[in-house]
Amino acid sequence: MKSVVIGASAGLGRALAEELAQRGDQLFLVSSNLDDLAPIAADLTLRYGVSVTVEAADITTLDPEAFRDKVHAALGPIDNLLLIAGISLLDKDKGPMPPADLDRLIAVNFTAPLRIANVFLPDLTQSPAGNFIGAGSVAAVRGRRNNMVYAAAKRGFECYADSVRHYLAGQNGAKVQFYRLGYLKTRMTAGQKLPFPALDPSEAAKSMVANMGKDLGSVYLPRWWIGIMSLIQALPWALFKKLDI
Amino acid sequence: MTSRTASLDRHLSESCRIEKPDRYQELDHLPDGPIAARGAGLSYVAASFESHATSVCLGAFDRILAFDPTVRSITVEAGISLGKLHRFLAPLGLCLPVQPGYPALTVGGCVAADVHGKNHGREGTFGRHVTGLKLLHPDHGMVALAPCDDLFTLTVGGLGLTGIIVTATLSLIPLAGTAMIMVHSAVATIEDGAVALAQLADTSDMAYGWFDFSTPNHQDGAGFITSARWITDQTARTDDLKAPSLDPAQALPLPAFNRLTMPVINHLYRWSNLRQTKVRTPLQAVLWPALGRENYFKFYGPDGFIESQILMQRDKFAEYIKAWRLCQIKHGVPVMLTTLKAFTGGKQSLLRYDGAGLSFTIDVANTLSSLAFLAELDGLNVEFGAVSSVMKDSRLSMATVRAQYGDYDTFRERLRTYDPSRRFVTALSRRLDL
Repeated sequence: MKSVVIGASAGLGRALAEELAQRGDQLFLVSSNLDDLAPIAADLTLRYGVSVTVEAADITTLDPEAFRDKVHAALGPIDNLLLIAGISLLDKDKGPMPPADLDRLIAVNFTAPLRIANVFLPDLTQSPAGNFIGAGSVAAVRGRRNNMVYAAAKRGFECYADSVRHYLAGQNGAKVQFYRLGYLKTRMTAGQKLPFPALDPSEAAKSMVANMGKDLGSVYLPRWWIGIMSLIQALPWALFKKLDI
Repeated sequence: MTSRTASLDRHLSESCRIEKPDRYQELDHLPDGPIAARGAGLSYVAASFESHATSVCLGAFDRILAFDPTVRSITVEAGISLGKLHRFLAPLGLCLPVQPGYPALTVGGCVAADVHGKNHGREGTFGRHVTGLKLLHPDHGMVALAPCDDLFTLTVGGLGLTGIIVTATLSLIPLAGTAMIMVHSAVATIEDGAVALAQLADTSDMAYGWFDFSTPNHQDGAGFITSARWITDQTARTDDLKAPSLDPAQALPLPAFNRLTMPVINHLYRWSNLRQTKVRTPLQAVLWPALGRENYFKFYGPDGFIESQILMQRDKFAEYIKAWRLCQIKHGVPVMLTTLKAFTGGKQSLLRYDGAGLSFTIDVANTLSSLAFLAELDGLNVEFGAVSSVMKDSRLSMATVRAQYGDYDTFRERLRTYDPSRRFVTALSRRLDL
């Protein structure tokens, strides 16, 4: 299989690249910094004998068509598109925020993944065994005063993934898995007192790769978040508005 | 992230800030103020944290960067564990020449501690097989180092005080076998054991002695000598490598090792090893003897233990052990673990635990009587010209180390010349006034 991972330099994206390499996929990895991508490419090539091409790029300024052409030159038409890159600005994303930050949150979490997905849809329609995989967040399930813009962007991305699922189903194309991710053990969450356990990115990646080929649509990861988020969604407004979550 | 962090022996525990960068650009912006380089965080002596320093953990930098089987060389990021490296190398019939006993240890930690492995006489210490380093210091940037560089020699065995080791290039050797045949021979005294080890040094692939000093009265240290030879009887297996689970913070609420249980456990251990004197031991058990035996560290309870390891000249050992025994009897301290290994051919320099002689190791529970016993041994060790491993004994004083290591002042001065602001600080460097 030929897989493109957007946001592959650390955390979940890096773990997914490793899982895909382990099963023998040819990889095209994208991240903002070549210093991080080059060691991953060397490591995966040496340990798993797979072909790994890397591209250092800011996905918010990436020319999607030119990027697709580079991927095709390296791999040909792809089977799997994994849109993992994302940012949050926890300390700023509560009420008014600087417009530049707002634009960046929307660009990284919403616009850029859509622009990239858009140019690969023809590939995915031709690959019934392929997969469109998006990384969302439990934060986007019900709007709150924290993560206002981030949650909106991720929910928009989820809505697009739903549409892609519908589109590809009509074409007998790739399967769609969109993950509403709970806490992950990353540098960002290290040392934070979290209300619920965090999942190791490598465990998350194992689950996600095991799910490839399944027409799942939007799912929680870990799955037990469905109980928590169902409860939060069911809370009456009179109670919900009093919660500082 | 601030958390309570402990040395492996739990003799020292401090709250300190730990950062876990996972991108190179984060290494370009190291924290202001004192820094401690951290690998697996499994040092006996708090060599990776200090209460006022930010520990920078290199765990995410664990990739293989280059590998050349023709010249048997590999370049890795320093956060890679020995276990991960073994999983890559063993199927190719290769291994690191020096392997300390736990797979979670990182290459960076092994370089900084210049650890020894199973056969010091043949392979020396870890640093002998390092052919290149990249070292990061906020005031000096990223520097590539070769063995001919002064900073290289200061960094190998430099206790992590010259900066963050980011990558290392290592020489490899063919894997000598897929298992070892271990032969255990009973010895009546530790002196007999020392003689037997000297005879085995050139004829076995690995040899060590184990002795029972768990009853603090007049004991001779009855025990056994293990000599081992490599064999090749099946493909080297790496898929069943157990996940390391050693966590210094985990301990039983009360010590399971005490005056009553230690003699029983030691007796049973000796009996079980001598019951079957010739044993095939699989590769992973040879390489990682502590893997799967993590409870040993937990059983000392919350106060932990102290490991004392000294390198003693062979010709003085018999006389030393007599004085050592009298000291043990005087303080009435049971020793849970006593081992002996032969070191040959090495050269002691700076604060490296290297040289020729017998490496004598004891583990005792961390109690007031143990501390008094060890304090008296410090004087005895100086008197006999022994050197103590600064990477094992977490209560060694600056005065003791200075008295034992002729290069102490040189090491301290060279550190200050290279890094006048002494940005890299650990609880170990603070204790030794480095």
